[in-house]
Amino acid sequence: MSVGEVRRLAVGLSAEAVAGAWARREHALHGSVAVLDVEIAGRLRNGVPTSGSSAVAVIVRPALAIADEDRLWVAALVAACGTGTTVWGSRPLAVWPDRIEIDGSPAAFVNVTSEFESGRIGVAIVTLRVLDASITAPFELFRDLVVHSVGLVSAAFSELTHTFIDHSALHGRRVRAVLLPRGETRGTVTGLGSDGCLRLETATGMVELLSVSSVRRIDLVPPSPAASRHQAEPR
Amino acid sequence: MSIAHPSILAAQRFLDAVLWGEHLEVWVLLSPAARGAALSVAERNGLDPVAAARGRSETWSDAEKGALLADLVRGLRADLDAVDISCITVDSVEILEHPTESRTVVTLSVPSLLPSTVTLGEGWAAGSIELVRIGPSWFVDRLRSRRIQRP
Repeated sequence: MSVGEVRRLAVGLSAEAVAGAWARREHALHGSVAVLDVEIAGRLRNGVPTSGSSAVAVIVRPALAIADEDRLWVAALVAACGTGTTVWGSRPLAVWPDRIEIDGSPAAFVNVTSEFESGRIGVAIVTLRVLDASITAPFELFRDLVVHSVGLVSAAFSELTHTFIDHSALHGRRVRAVLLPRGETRGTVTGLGSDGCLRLETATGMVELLSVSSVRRIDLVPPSPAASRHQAEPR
Repeated sequence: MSIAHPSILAAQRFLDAVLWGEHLEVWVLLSPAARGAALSVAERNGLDPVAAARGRSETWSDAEKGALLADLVRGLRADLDAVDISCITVDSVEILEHPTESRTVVTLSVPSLLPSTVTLGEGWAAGSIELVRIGPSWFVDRLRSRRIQRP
């Protein structure tokens, strides 16, 4: 599959806007990348505003059903973590669905915006935003990793899942997921569902699958009182 | 130091189990009448009557039980979604007069979100839990939540 060109701007409003317009108006190729050295009006997941970061937006045309859109978030996180310690100075870890952490602190965010065609995703923009101004977004490496990961989302998602788990900061941890529009759920992260959603399991084995669009945020939490009781007083 | 009424501890365990999605624990903490009510609601919402009968006689399969109790936990969370469930505290306990059973009602509240200069009480009502004593243990018989009125 051919990989598109690179467009680099010193300053821009939003990497997604630049890439999206490029994809729609000029039919940019799969793997084309828009780079903003300074993004002044970016939006994270759920429209949270951000500015001042550098941003890389990769245009992809995945062979993916609409229902599997969450797989692209996994691909984005795997690609961002794959850029490795040489870029970040330490091992990057993924906090599903959109955060990259270095030594426990947020270092970057990924975002995925998709445009749908009949029954499938026509084009998707996978964006990486680097919070630390001293780090140059590794746009060529990120682009190559995104193209590789997106190639796996439909053909070999289980392989991508294994890679994701290796990079996941949440795997095996107890979390509280604050949901949209309200409510919350808690459990231990035990992997991903087949469509890319996060799999939570409670102490009594109840499984919940969280889609990207249903989650406001995810926090780590201490063990539940009941789980502590189960450990102290096995039945 | 006052000793908490045992029904308060049972109510707190029930809330913890709902919060943490511990569906089997939730089922254990329900009274037989509450289990029957939960199965009746599930039946009205489309559960196969034969499966409901298996639930009443506790002869259901693990998968069947797991799926139904997961729905039960989601339903209880939906009942409590007017408030932040992790902030619910047990306020007080009222011992009900009943000729044959020991029954209590535990009042639930959440901290007030108003500025501390406004004194309208310590918290906002979040509902109540009615408990019944069976043998030495207390079981949840009914959850009354403060619901949001939706259009």
